[in-house]
Amino acid sequence: MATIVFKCPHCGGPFECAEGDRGSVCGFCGVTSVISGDTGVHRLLIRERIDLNAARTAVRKLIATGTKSHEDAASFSFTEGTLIFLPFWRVRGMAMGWQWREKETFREEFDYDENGTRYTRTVKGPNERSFSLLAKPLDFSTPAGDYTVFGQVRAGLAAAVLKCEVMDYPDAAARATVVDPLKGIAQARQEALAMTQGSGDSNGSIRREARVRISSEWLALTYYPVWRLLFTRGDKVYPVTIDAVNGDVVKCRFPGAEERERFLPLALIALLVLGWTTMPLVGVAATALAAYLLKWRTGTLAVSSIITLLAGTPERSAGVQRG
Amino acid sequence: MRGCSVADVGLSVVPLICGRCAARMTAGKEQVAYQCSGCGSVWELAGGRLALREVGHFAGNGTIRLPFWYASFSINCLEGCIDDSAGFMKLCGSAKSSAAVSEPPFVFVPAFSLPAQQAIRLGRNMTVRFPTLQTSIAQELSIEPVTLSEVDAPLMAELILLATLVEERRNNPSFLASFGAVLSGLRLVSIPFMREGNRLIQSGMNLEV
Repeated sequence: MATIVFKCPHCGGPFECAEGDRGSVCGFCGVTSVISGDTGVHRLLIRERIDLNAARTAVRKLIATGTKSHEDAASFSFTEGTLIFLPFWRVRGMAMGWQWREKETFREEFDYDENGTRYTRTVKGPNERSFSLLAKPLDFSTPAGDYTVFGQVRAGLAAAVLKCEVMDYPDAAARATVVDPLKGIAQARQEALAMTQGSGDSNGSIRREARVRISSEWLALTYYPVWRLLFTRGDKVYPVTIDAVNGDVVKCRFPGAEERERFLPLALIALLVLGWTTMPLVGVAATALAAYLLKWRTGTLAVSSIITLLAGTPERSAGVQRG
Repeated sequence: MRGCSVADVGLSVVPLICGRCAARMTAGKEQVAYQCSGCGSVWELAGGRLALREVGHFAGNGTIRLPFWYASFSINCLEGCIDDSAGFMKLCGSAKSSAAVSEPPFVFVPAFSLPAQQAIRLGRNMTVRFPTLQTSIAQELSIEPVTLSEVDAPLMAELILLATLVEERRNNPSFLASFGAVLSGLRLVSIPFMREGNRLIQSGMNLEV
């Protein structure tokens, strides 16, 4: 559960309250205070813990480790970095309502045929109807937009354990790009309720009716920080997303270095020429040896890969990819 | 980037200091109404500040006063609008004869901390027993912490009323879809219970928590 940090109205000291709780005691002056505004949407913010330099270093380290080449890491030049706050919906409360279900039932009947062999058949029984009252706690978080371009940001989990603060929108917007939610409150609620209703047994259900609402609702938009860095090599741009809380590289794709085979094509050609000019039997042996070497090097004897190898076309080594 | 509009609600922190005697009040994590241990007045948050909340106290045996939301109600369903005790008794299959069948029925919603299923069961038992309660002459009695807010009481009341219905009606999806309860005169009351071991007993209504 996230902890929200306020300022104590009595002594001005930091006053911490668990998300969804209505009140807490100030650790400095001992006065109990309660949170006002428990309906509506609260905008909470998780502060970034790593700065731009640390984010850049994390990317350089990753490239150097991934490509096993410091020269390769240095070939990417850093262009720009932006701090972005991504919103996530957080819905807490109590799902209350009713569910009604109609289920098909089946039973097995045993019988004997004319030869006296016992057999089993499944017979449909009467439909079973059940009604249940639903009252269970709800704790749900979902991205408030499509963040595939940023990779899989695990903010839902992180937001549950990190300290949040009430968002100062102008301040956040002045130092970062604040993404507004594309998913509305109604959709977030609907997803939360669908999760609650979907968790029951639905095997064999042919009809289902439900009316579930959320009581004691705590609705918050939690903004999670990520760094979006741009690296370039030649005329190509490589965007990278870094979790600004723990410094993990969430999404990137850096190609490896170009590799050009020079020795093997020359050696193969020399082997074939030498073999076939000496005598046919040696030529056959040289061809077999060349085929073996090709298969060992390229993994296949396809004409295209042989041409690629002999022509000395550059190949890329495995690069670094995340997300 | 601007997407859907979200109405912001400012979160502010209000110190719990009694507006009548200036004593410091305490509150649990889930509490929604706060009682001053000095003068006994009950306060709740309204519009970002503390406002006095009137609490009615019913008479009875017991020293532990449990808070309930108490209101008269009418039910809208396939069978029309039911706003008297006789109609409600018919709806819930109760054979109990009541002298005041034309009176509006009352629902009790437990407002103290209790698992939801137990709260529904307790509220159901109290509602279908049509208890006759007398107001206590004592004022500002100490009550157990209130954890269910006034906003959430109608939702819980609807579940309690659904729990009172006979099974044939609860198994009828058309009836369920049409079902709706309207509360009127919702107020916070306290009912005395006696402690017996781990249980709380209300002997007058034959109830146990």
